[in-house]
Amino acid sequence: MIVAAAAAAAILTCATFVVLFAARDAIRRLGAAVLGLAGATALAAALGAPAAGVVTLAAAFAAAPLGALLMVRIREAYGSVALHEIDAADQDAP
Amino acid sequence: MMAPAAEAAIAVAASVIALAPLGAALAASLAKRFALAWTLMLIALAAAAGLALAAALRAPLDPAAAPNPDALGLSLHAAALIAAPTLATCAALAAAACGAWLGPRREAHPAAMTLFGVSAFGWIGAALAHDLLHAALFIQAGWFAAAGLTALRGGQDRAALAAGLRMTLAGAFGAALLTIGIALLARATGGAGIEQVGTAPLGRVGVGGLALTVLALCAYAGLAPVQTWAPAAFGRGEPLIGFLLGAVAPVACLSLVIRLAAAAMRDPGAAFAAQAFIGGLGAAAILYASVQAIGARDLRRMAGYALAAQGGCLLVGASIGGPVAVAAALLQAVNIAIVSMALFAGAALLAGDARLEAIEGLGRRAPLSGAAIAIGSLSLIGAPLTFGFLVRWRLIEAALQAAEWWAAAAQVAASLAAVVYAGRVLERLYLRPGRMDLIPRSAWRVALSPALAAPIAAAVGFGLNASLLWRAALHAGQVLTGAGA
Repeated sequence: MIVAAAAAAAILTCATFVVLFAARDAIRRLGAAVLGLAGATALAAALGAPAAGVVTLAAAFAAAPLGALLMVRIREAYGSVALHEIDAADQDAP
Repeated sequence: MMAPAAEAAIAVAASVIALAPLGAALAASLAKRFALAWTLMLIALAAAAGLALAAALRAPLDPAAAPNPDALGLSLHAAALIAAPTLATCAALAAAACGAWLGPRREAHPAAMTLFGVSAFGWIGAALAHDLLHAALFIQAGWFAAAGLTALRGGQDRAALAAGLRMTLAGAFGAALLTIGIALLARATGGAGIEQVGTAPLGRVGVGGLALTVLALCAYAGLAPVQTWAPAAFGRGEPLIGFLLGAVAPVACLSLVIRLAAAAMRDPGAAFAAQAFIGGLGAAAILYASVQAIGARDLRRMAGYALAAQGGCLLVGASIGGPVAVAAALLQAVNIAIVSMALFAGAALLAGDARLEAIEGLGRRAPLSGAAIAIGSLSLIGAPLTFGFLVRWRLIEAALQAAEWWAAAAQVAASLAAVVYAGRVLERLYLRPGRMDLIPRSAWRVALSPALAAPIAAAVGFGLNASLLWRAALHAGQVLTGAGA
């Protein structure tokens, strides 16, 4: 049972990390990061160390609002949250 | 044995050192003027640095002594006797330099000092933490406050917003890795204590946990090739972010890596795997970061990559194992802090533009800034009469003593690569006419002087005589490897 739960949580975490690196817009990446944190918390609990989940909870509480705030500011400043557009705009800037 | 009163005093000192910047941050959040917030932060961090130094000098170097953690999970353990004064001093100097950069600006906001204080609290707490769980929590505070500080420049440069977002995503990724790593280590060892690692066989689960934890710590420390956030943050964020993420964060994270590596080496079954992973990561960091530093066209980006290469040297040293190698790795952490302070403080005088063209002739136009960048560059190379030379010597000596020829070769390769990129900086500093603008002269600019003078004094002073520091590092090496028990 523990092995199955750990494997499920590990798959969830890995899948969200793949999205984190592959997604082309910032909102999806932020969503994937928060899901990844949830997966890591579940994995820690399945491994018998629920206390370690405090770290991911702390990170989620900081990353979600900060990321959302930055997303709003980025949309205002760049007019888009697509990462290739942001990178292109930054490369053109002095 | 340490007297109970002395032990209690040292445990209290650990909490006071960590909480001082947090208290100042709370006060800064109530301040309406930047100058008041800055003054409070400066006083708090100067007091914390003084206390950390006094505690480190008074703590008995007894390998059998093991201070207990306090309510916050902090203690002045053997590695903290070196890390705490280094971190608190760097944070105090960085706070002083903040004034030079932000003070003259009309839009300077006390929120910058609040975020700076929370971040300093997080990194100092991580270095003083007794176990991995507390360390990881402190790292979250340090990291996300630094991400907010990076993005704070978004009003002037929108790229700072993107840099802040990159840091937020990297922080979430690192937190997930840390959680899984700590959970695996706890499953293998029965707890989250760092010194607990290696007292029982780690097995595959424990080694996997160690690898994930080290990888996450290296990502937070900005070590190549896992520092996806670093080029944007160093190049586009507030210049003062260089002090936090270039000097303070690496010392906190890498001192944790040294403690973990030393503890893991105690388990004969895990020693080879730990050495292969940590040494391999260090060698990869040296190779990747050196190539990137050679290609960098911006002083702050170059400094970020150069420090990542120096972090690689530290990992290679820590992977050797044994008290001498661990002591040399701890000295390298101090060297990274000194070099980082010198380079980022020197670059802070440039008016937002840190392209290599901007430092042309800086040695003549601003001698103190030029000297700081020059000494930092020479220390990167490992030039004689600098602290970098002494540390490189100790690292190579430890590698040769353990017959780890590859480790010695990696250290030499890092120095040779540094000759190329740091030599180019030195040539531009002194052999070319100056063209670019510096930040305007004002009373605030004086605040940068301590951040320029201190790393110069430390790099040259420790380059001439570092016997006191070496004694403390060797003591820590003996405690961490169990050689003194």
